Amino acid sequence: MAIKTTSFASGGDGGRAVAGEKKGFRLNAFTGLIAGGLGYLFGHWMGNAIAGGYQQVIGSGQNDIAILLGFIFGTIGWFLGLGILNYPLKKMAGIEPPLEGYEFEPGVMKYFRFTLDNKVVGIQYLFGMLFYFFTAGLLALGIRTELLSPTNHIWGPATYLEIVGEHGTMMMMMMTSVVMGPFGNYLVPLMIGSKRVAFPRLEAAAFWFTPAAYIILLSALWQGGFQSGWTGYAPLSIQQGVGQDAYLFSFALLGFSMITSSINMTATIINYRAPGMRWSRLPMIAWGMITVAFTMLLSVPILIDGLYVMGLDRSVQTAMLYAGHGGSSFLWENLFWFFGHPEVYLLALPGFGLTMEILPVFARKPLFGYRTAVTGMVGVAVLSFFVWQHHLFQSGMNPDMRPLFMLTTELISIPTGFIYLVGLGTLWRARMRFDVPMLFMLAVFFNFLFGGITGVYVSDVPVNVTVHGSYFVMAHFHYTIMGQLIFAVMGAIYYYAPLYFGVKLNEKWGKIHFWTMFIAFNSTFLPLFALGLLGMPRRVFEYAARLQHLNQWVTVSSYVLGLSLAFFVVTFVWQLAVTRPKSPLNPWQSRGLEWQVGYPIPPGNFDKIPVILSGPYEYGDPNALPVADLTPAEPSAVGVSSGGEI
Amino acid sequence: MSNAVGENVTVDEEQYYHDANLGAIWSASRTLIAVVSTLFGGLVFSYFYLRSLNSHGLWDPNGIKASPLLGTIIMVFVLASAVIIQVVNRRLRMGITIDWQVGALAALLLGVLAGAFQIWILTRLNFMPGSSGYAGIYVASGPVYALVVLLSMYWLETLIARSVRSRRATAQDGGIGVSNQPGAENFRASLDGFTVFWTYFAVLSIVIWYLLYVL
Repeated sequence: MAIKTTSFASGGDGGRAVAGEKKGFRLNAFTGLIAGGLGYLFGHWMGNAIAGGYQQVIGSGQNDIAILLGFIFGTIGWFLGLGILNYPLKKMAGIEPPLEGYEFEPGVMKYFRFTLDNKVVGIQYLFGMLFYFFTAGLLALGIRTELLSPTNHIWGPATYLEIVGEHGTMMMMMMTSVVMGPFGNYLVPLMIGSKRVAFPRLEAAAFWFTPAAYIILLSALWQGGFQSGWTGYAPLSIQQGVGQDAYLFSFALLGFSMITSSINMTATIINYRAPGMRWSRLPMIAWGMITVAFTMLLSVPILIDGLYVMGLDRSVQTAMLYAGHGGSSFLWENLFWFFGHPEVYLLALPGFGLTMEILPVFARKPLFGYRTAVTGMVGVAVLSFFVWQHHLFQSGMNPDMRPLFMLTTELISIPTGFIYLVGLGTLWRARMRFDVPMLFMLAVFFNFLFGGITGVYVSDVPVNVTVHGSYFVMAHFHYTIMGQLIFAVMGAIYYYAPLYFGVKLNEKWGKIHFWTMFIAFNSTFLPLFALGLLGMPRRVFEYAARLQHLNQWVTVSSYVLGLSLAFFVVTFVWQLAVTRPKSPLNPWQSRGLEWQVGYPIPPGNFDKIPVILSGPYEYGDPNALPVADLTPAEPSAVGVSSGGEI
Repeated sequence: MSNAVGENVTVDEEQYYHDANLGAIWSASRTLIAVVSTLFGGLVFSYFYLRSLNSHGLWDPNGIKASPLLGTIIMVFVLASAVIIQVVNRRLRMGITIDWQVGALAALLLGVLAGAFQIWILTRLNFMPGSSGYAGIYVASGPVYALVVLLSMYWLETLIARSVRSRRATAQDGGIGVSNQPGAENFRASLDGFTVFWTYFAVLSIVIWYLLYVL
């Protein structure tokens, strides 16, 4: 049923995005780049005009105001050039433009435009995130190459720290959206039985923040970098060159992306569920998304506050992070970690959502303890706000506060354990199919065991004091983030490729990718625990000679890991662009609603609003109802609200 | 809210998405309150953190504050703007659109003036940004406050423009405040969202005023 937009601002036009009817030239990423470049030049000029004569600018030759204004106007130009600001400008004249999409447009140009189709946005995010991930991965190889030898150097110490900072920031900053972007935006409307998201423009704008943030962050490399690392501790971050401005501005842009994306996601899941999609039937990915969205909404503004404070200290000479004038560097640590520690769970929860979604498909069993898993996710999200001070155990904080935060941090292992045990329960006595997605999901459990258990250790004050700032901690968080999240994402790419692209990725190549990645990952990061216990500190480019063999082992393993990921890139692109091995419909026999619509997915996701009849995980139950009725009878005047009982 | 009709469930699709859209506006406006609370929460935390540390006695060594008079004017303008919106919304619900439009314009003017005064104060400070902890917090809070006020006024302006543009379309069924047209319902949902947000922000403004100009 085609939904028409009414002549006056109905707002209820949302059955389906209306295909763009305009022909000819349309704004796109390239016009955005041009406008963004011009905007940067204008902002930089303005900054020089305003602050060129300031004493601190003349004295240091560094005009942070010009750089930051350049970034601000550059971003505004980027958005103008993409056409994102057309809508808010039209609104000022009281015009309510219909939802225009380019979903019917053939070819690839729609992926370079501001478009309102959730599936196009999901694919934009997928390739964007992979691109950012591999950039950061290459930087990681640069780090490991330097550490081949304790004394012979490839980079200078400053360059080394720049690379470490870029790697860490890009990974921790960009990867917050690695699940919500490609999977949340694409899948959630399909999974909840909706033809659209609540705020398609917000959803699309959230993506277009990310290329701007990526370019600005990367630009730090040729502006002297930022040696404060991804944590940006003051006062070092205040004393740095203009590369630090790129750090703070790009991180803030990503913050805005997370907030806009989260507003859309929460509104969509709450209001756009199809009839019968009760909360107790909500797919685990959707639970992962809504818990993460709420966590982001309540933590990211604090990060933006912190970055803003840092920016003011650097540009207009406030002294909030500088004790000499009434500030405190620990203010930054608190603001940063109030976001930074929930962020770890922003990364983990969607990974668990993917894992819980995919495990039952290959175990052919219902998800064991659905409610327990949901409780675990909500529990992790809530508790994540009460742990941030464990990053400050050695900062000189009141020692009496340390047991409290030790306890809260240890408590979070309980809901995490819920999720973990639900996964294991699902596998118990299952007749598993060991396809590539399942292998990745099993690896998530293996890897997370190391990351999770060491997490309990490092939250204990005595252990924390011993291993703080060492490679032990680095191994811990790489196991929890890369070992859990990235493995889950890789498995999800293999799993959802038939739905996204109509292509079933080659099993043999997939298994080569999986096994090399799994072995090389563990070979890279497991020895880091030992290196940490042997006393190797983070962020140093020279180390004790006795640690060379272990470091060489790790570096060679990281090269294998890099090759494995390169193998994935080549085979993935090759199969998508050249061979396109056609996938049967629903090749994994999933019950998920998203798989019931066929391929290619209709432009509005569903021809009619589906009526949900049962949960998505009732595998192996011969009496289970089909998950949904996709062709309910013709519309009547009966009103049914989102998620209403059926 | 729910409908148990067995196997033959059917859905009026247009109505369904219209209701969902209204719900989404409700959710988003409340979410926005949470985001703005957290945004100012970080600044309020910074205020108390630096004040309690009072590093080297430099929280506010000379007791110099930004102009309390202008700070009070800003707070009163925002408060008055929120009160006016509350009052004229009732007129709108009675079908008297013109009263709402005039009142909303007055509220808009007060809001824009409050934002403008906040920016103006920042150009007339009697202390340097780095002179004390208080100075830093004030310089940080001012632009955020002005930005939120002006963005809120953007929201109000779009509502006013929409009410003017839709005057003819809704005239026959009582005006945009009472019309059953989907567009009118959508407008009222957005207006409700704005009113709740702006009322909340007015209360928040009192807290900020007390911290920055009085305490």
